[in-house]
Amino acid sequence: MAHNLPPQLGEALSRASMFFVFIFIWSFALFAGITMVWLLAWAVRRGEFQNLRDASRMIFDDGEPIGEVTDRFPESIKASGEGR
Amino acid sequence: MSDQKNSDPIQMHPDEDSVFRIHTAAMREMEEPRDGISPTPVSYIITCFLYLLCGGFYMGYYGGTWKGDGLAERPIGGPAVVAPPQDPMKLGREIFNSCMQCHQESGLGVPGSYPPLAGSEYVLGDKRRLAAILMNGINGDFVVKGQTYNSKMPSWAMLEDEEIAAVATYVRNTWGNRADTMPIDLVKSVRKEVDGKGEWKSATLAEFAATAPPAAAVPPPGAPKK
Amino acid sequence: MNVVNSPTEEIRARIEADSSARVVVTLYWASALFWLTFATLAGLISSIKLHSPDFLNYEWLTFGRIRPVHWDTAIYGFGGLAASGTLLWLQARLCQVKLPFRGPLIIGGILYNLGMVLGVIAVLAGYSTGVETLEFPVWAMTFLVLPFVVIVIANFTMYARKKTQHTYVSQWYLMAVTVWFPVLVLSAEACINFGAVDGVAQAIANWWYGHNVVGLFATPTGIAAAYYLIPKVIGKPIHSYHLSLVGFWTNAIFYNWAGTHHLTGGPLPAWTITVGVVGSMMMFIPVITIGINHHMTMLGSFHLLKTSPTLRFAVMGSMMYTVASFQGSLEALRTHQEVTHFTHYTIGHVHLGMYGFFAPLMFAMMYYAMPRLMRQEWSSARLIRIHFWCTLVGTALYGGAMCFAGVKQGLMMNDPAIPFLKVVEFTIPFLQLRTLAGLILLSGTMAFLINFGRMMARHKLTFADPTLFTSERNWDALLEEEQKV
Ligand code: HEC
Repeated sequence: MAHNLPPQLGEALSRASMFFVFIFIWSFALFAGITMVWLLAWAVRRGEFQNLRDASRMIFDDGEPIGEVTDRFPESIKASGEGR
Repeated sequence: MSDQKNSDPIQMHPDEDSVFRIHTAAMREMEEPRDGISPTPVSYIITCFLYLLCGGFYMGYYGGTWKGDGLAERPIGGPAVVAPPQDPMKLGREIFNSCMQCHQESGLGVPGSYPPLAGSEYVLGDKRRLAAILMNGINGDFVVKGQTYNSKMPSWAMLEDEEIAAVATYVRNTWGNRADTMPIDLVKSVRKEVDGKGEWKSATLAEFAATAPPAAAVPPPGAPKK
Repeated sequence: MNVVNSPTEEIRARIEADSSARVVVTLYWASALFWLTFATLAGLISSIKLHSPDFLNYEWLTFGRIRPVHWDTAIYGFGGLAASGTLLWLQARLCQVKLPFRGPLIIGGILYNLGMVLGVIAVLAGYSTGVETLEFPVWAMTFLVLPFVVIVIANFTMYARKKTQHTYVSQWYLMAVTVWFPVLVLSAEACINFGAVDGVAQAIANWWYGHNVVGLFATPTGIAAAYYLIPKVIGKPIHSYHLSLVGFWTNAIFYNWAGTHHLTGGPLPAWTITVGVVGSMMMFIPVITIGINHHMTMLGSFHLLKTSPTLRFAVMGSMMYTVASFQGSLEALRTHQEVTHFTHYTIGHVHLGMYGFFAPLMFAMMYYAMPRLMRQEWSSARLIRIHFWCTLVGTALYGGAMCFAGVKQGLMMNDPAIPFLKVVEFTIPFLQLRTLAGLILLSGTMAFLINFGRMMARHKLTFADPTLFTSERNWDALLEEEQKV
């Protein structure tokens, strides 16, 4: 790319591209920072940090409740008579 | 359980109560009833902070200069610690690694291509000329110990003065060579003198060696002359 | 105890999520397994070449080409696809929504595979960029990035539509991955292959990327899987939700800094390396936190390891996470690196991490999810056992041999009295052991492939909406039956 161009042009190009890279990096950092703060506020308002007990239990439901083991080797299921 | 539920401003699942009712039995059977909200122990938090402090200390201690060119992790701030003067023979041996590919570990060079450093008049002779060779490199026909060589000796100007002096001292005192050490000051003044002169030819080098050095750079008397 | 006759809203949502994810996730995982086999083969060839240099002496298979292909197919082919499948399935399930954008996701999966094929051919043909982990030419890389855009959008859409009040730990990790990974790839490509920075800065960007691709992509997905699977399988909530918060945020803060420890001793400004060392050492906090959480959850349920294939892999993965992370943090220290840098130790560590931690968790995910996606059991328990033991023994042998050889190699290299060739000779038996370990891992993969293939062969993939509430009840009944026995 820039390496095969005449030296002055190459230099100008790389300086220009660095400029855009910096613009990109800084605006992205700004954007990311603002989004993060906004997300945090949103999560707090939504009650994500309240009642963590329920959060830790949300992976269970009536079909697969707490206290039930939900995975075993296939043969042991077959052995119980209903194998496929 | 229901206390928790009532104090919770957000109603989660309408059927949650029934879920819990159905499973109280199951939950009683669990080896170790837990509710997933074991709080973080204070001691744990304190330990984490102490650990973070250690990290901060390490960062400050080994941060170098916090600049783009601070390659050494120590020292920072405080009184500048002057590096102890290096043994030029040791440092020179290290630098000589770069010369080895041409002049060989034996210092004998490669007949027909690379001249020897062992017993060479350029090595043992005028120190100012030797420094000039190392500084700018040589190109073209060049006679060493009666043999003509025609290839290229690269410039070593990118090395520090101290390093050039050290490697010069090293080649002057190895493989049976015996001569006095190359002063760092001489390298420094030669660097200024030869700046911009370009690669030496046999003739230009001789011409340079013949001109009187600037007053400051006169080598101390007693240096072995050819 | 709990045969539910009319499925609740939650159960319905779970089943709908599963069946909506069926085709997409199966596609991703099947291709992940293909690339895993490919990567293992490529790794095996590279390994053999190190002790028998004349093996397969063709231009296309020279070490400098086949070794990058091994790593790229492992991380992008297997890692990328397995993690994406995991991400989509878990997120759909945890949000209790149907997987959106199934068409684009399938096209994306196909494009991704196409990109992989192109990239592999390019590297084998000698068109590698020469930058570690980013060897694929930019045009091949584009095929890998585009599908990810769809995955990110799908992920956020599911989250926006979620029916649950809370966000589960796994979801934080999955969301984070979709934010971090695109930024990572784009910045690294911009810095390196588009030449925004030069020289030393390029090396920094390279290792920032190389380390983060493992740390901000593979690791969070692995942890997300462990956070879901361990409690889910044993039927107990996670030990402490508070701790998982601490673990997540410290992981998010520190991991990103660690990359430069790969360049210790290089011509970098001292502070960049120091920051990398501190970042790596600080990783002890999330690692210990996550470790406590996973292992404390397991406490009292270890007997289930006997009966649950998912749990075996998941626990192996989470334990190896602790081990490999401890190893990695210590490895960053300057004093440690004086010995182990540029030795086989590093390679041993990478495999303990990728094949000891990440891969087993992905396997666990597949063992758990595939029967639910396909509505049928794995056909052979023996093949699962073979797969597990091969993975365990192979990884242990690999890690053990390489780490031991690495330390000894480093000590020997630091001793100027020992000629270099002596050091090389010393490592040869260990390199041969590594080939053996690779063969063991390959056999394990083959066992899994057979099991996976059989399941696919028996099933016709359809987009049909679920009519499965009855069989879901049977499923529960089966499990209950089993519990009584
Ligand atoms: C690329 C090969 C190469 C390297 C590396 C190299 N030299 Fe030379 N050197 C030469 C050649 C060739 C000549 C003779 C010049 C000519 O042929 O024009 C020479 C000449 C010399 C001479 C003058 C002739 C003599 O033999 O005394 C000295 C002194 C010397 N080199 C010292 C060094 C030192 C010290 C280093 C390491 C810092 C070094 N060289 C590295 C190729 C090399």
